[in-house]
Amino acid sequence: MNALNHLIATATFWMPRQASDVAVELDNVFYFIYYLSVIFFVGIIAAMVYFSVKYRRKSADQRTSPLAHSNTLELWWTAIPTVLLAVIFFWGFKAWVTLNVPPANAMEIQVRAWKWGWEFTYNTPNTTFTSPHLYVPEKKPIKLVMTSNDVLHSFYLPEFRIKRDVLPKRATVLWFEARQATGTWPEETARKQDPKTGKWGDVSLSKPYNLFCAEYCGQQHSMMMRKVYVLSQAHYEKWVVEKEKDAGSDKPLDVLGQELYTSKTCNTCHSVDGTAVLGPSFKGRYGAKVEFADGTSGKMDDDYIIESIEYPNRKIAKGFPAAMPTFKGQLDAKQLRALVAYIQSVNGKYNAQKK
Amino acid sequence: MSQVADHAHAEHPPHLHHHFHSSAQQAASAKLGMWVFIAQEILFFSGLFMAYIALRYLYPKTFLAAHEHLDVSMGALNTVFLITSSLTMALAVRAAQTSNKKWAEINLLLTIGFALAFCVVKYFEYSHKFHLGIFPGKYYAYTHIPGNPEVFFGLYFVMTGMHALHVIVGIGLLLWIYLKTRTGAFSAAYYSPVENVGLYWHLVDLIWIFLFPLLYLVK
Amino acid sequence: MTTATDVIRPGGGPSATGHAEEKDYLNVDNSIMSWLFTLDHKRIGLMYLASVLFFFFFGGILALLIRTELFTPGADFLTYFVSGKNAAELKLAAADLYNQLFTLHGAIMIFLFLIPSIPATFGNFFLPLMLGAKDVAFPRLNLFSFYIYVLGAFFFLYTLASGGLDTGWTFYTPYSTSTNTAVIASTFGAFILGFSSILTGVNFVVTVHKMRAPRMTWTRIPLFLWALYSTSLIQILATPVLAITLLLLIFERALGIGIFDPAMGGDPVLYQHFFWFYSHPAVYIMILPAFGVISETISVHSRKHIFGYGFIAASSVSIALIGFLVWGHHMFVSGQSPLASLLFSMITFAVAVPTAIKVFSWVATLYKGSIVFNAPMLNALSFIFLFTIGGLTGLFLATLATDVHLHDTYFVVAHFHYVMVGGTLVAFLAAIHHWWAKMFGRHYNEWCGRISAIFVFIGFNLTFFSQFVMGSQGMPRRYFTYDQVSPELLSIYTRMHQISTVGSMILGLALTFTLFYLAHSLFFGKKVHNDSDLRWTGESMEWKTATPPSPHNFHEQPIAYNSPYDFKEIDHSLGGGH
Repeated sequence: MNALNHLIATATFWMPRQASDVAVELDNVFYFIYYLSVIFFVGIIAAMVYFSVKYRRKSADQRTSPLAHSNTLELWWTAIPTVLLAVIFFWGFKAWVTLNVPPANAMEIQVRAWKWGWEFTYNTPNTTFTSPHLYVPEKKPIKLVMTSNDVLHSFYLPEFRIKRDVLPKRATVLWFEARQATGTWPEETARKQDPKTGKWGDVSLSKPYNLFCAEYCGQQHSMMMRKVYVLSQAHYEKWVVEKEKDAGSDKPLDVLGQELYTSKTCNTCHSVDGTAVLGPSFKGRYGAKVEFADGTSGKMDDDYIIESIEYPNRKIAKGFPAAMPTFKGQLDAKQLRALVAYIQSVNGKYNAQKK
Repeated sequence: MSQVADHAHAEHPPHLHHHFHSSAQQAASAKLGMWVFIAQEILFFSGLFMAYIALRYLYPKTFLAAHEHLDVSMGALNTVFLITSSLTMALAVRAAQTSNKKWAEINLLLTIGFALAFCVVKYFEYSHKFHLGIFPGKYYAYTHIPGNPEVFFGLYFVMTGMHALHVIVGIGLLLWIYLKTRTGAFSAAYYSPVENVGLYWHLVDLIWIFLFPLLYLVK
Repeated sequence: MTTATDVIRPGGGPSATGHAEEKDYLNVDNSIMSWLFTLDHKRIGLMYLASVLFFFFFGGILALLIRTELFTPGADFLTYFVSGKNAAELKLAAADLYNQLFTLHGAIMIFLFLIPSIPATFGNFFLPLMLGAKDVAFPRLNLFSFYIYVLGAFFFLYTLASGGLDTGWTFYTPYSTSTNTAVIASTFGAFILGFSSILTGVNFVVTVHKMRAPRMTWTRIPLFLWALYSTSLIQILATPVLAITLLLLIFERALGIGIFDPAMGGDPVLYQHFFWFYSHPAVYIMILPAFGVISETISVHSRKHIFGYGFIAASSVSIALIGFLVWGHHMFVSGQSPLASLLFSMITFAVAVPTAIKVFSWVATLYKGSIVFNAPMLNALSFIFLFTIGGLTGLFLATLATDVHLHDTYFVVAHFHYVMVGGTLVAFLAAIHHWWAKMFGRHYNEWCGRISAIFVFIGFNLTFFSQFVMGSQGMPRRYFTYDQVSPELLSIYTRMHQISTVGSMILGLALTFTLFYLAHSLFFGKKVHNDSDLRWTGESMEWKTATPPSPHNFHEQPIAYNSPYDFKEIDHSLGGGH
């Protein structure tokens, strides 16, 4: 835990903690510009205040200097900033090259963004699995290949000082290397008392980093946050093994569906307790008649659910906005069936034994 | 000082606005204003040209395949119309400068005639496209071109459409100048409006000179 | 205050001899029609002034609503303005409202206040006066520009009434082509406003070229006019690109022509290039006139020739021209080519040099002057303080590496508010106090002016300096809530947002106070009977006419015998310079 405290200590008044080596390099550039700026600012303002006070009008007929220009002075204050700006530019450029060139041995993770969520796809020799949060091993270069399903998003890890827009129909690349593990798998917890409620409970000891969407993308832009867990190599491998087991397992369809329900962010608009949020609740509707916005109606059956996931604007339930993004291409046949199974289970109809 | 003295309205010809000192100053201002306005028109169309370059770079094959479906002979005919109208426009300006009222009227009418002919050809071109199902954007329904030709035709309709809009505005301006010429408003002493509409008309011509090869000819 | 400037009087202006019964431009005709159809550049300037102030306060109220919501991390304040069946629904409805608020705040402030602010009001009023001309070159076009502005503004109000706008003022595709809000109406409004801006630019360029007083050479033009001239060049050359961009966006939305929308084969990064090709130069449309105002006020209120006239004039033009080549610095993380980013970063640093020269020259102007701390001067000094911060923080954003971290965070928000509010708005306040008595023939209360300048300064710094801190700590912009972040960041963000919100309230009150005492002075302020009543005058030609000016500006054509900064207090025996 000492190492962890040290990491948090790297946070300063201006910058959050430094989670990667590139963050250190970038902060050096930042502070170089910062101290230069402070020197210039103090100089300019000191001169301004000094002149203003010294030459304040003491009598109505106070005479003033005819000084209107000075070639020497003007030459110097053009030349010195030009040289300093060139230094800043080159240093900034150098650090930026590091930011932009992923090492050849980097581990690749696919990133998918949509309104409003993130999903990380890991390809291991055995299988492929996805995770709603980003788990990475420490001290290993990670290369992210990112694309968006709908509008522009931007992948931003403030503690790693990296950011890159995520575009539809185009892949952008970003890389980083985490310095030190700040969490464990499974998560280490401690019994702690909540200061507000006074209740005792398990509190995670992990200090995950923040993932933000930095490009405005609509209603839930500010809620499009995820966590980045940096694990030691051993813990990371444990996590991978567990995820692989999940991916290959014959997990009951409704359980898989329940996972998808949160990882694909269905839960932000569709409740399972009967309350209507942005979209209709899943509870109490399966098998029932649905009124559509265009005046027609139909039954909420398996076909309707799958159609609505893939083509959400074809049949819009009456009284709700046409706000749902399409998930076509993001879910395979099994996952679609799993979501149907979960919706059935919410309505008490799904029988896990049936498969 | 005396030649710039105020309240000398008596010497002012009727076309001279009171805030100018002389007809020469007024004419020079009007001309400079028109040139500056033309600069902004060029920037406006250069945006479209940049979009063309960027998308052509993205989809070179589609652009090549799609441009084959434009009618070169109709485009060429329109080019001839516009170039000739520029000539008659220049003659009209010259006639106004030399106070040759009749010749100015004739040339203005000819210019309007060529401009209308341009619009008629454009109408046939567009209606042929629509007949085939080549509509702009999401209404595009012609399936015989590989790739994504709707991008090319979207751009084609916007570029030629914005140009055609400028032609129609030009016709209005030409009509206004023609009617004023008939009332004898212009002479060697005052012909700024004729000259400025002339400048505008040459610009419309010039833009077409760029549009025609880019859309119809470039392989 | 009055004692100090009593001796400063323009040499033998006609007004001093008194045309007591003569009407000025304000009372020459009091009918409403005479205002609505006026061709007088001064009256048109005042109509712009009233309009931009209206939209400024409107946009300001939106800003205060935003700040109040951000006082706490979660969704609360705005949920009182929306309806919903449960907490989740309320939160999402409030999120939509928040997105509309920041979009309209940005769009109104930029298109309806900042761009026309100084050029269309003080530019219209003083450009012909400072040139010694009777009017702008095309008075009817000038009035037409005003009505186009009004029409464009109506489209924005229509947007408000018809479901709002939630794209951000940048209208980025493909979000802007897919959202349900009134994108077409608002982009069409901005398109129309663009024409108003272009036509004003054409008018000013021609006026400066063709309507100067006898013997007014290019080196005797006041620096305010050099600034307006440079601004006009940008307005003419950049705005048409915005026009075609917005038109393409409208076609994209209405017809799906597929130029910017990736779903149809278009390129969203191309949209950003188009948009910033205008919108970066537009930043200079907003700040260059402010530079001009500061050059005038600093020299008049220190009774000294402006330092480095040639460098300041040349830097205005060079900023305008180089400003066309830096737009890509808004796109370092957008996926544009690395080579492009490299070049754009380099050229951006090149703009920093002429900007720095200006600041140094203003400070040098104070040296051995006769400085008086009245409202315009306090605002001008405040401008130097705030703009220097705004300019220096720009270096962090021009630097490729640091921009990656700071892009789209509150650091950027703070940076451009330091330039646009600390710069343009404070210069606007300096201008309004500097020329108030000349424009209206009445004095505002000087103590009120000083108090306002000080509180605007305090409120502004509290509001926006805290945003630098939260921004470099990673707080992204355009965030409705920030309650999901990790605890250590949450405590920083919350504290900084709270300071910012408190500061914005102080700023809001200070500006409202300014509006009140200025409006009060219009009716009850001390009257200026002749030029000796003025608390200060300058040597440029707007001071050589009656107060308030007569309808046709000058009774006798003024002649530019010397520099507009040749004050009588300057003691040529002291040596140095020239």
